[in-house]
Amino acid sequence: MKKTFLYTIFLLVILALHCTFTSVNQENVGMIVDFLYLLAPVSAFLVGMLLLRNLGTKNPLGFSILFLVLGMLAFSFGEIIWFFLVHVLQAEPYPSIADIFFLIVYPISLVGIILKIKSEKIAWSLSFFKKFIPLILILGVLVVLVAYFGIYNAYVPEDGLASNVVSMLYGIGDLILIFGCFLILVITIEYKGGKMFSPWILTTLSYSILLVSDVLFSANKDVYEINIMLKMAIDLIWMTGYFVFGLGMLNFLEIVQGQQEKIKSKLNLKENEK
Amino acid sequence: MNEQINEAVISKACEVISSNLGEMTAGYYREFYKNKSPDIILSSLNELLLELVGSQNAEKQINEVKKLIKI
Repeated sequence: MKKTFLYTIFLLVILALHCTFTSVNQENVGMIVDFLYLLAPVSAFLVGMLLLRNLGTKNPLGFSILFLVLGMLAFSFGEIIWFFLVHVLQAEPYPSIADIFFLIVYPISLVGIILKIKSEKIAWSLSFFKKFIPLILILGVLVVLVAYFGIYNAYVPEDGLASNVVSMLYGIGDLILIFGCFLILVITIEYKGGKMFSPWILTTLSYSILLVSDVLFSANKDVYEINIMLKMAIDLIWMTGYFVFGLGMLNFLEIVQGQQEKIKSKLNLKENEK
Repeated sequence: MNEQINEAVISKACEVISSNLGEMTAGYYREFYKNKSPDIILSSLNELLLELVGSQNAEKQINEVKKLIKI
């Protein structure tokens, strides 16, 4: 059975369980809900590692994916620390050391995307950008939204300095993510008509979903912990973003392994002919 | 001389494969391309790239190979 199919089933089961336990809305299920949430970034990271094991990192694709996977590792560490703070230490998770890991995801992922863009040797020109005018306009709207909700609105005079700085850094991180989404879409379009289009479009989709959930969280930060349904909706979007990243990595792996099988059978034929 | 050209074509083709599919796959192709003529290697690479990266990108990458090995 195809790995992406099995992973999709796993993904749907986890999302369904997360919804079910959240709707139970009892204190003792909070840990289960948060544990289910953890599975999303951790599984995405593990799938990324499987791909890297096959690709290696001494080539442009593997090297750029290494950074994307490191980004997912930082997300996983952030989520694990958040879980530990809330359920083991019963401490306030925000702001905390978890935020350092969440915040480093943005530059790390952007490095990966830029490395890939560099290896593509794209001819940047005015006519090249003309193809992306509708997308640039959408991104412009997103920049305004993120700048308003993520940076301007993030400043709350009653909160401490640390909380405000962290909140605004998330806004800046989201601006980096918008730029990253644009660049990654440029990479995706480079592969139009080829098999590599699908894993890259999944990766683009993953970062776009993570961006949407970040913006939703920024806009509803004050009611996030109080409104259970809203928390569930935002968490589900975040989890979907992580899972779609994992799906993209698995899709890459399937394509690579498919080609390896083909060439191995040709090599066997060559051997037999001898 | 022919062997040198052949080795250059194999190296460049495997570099392209490695940058699209990683080192392990490039290793299998290196084995497969042994004793194959540059024309056959280029045609096989073209076929692979067309399937993987689409016609526009494949043409760009194949041109890079042709330019470097001056075929």
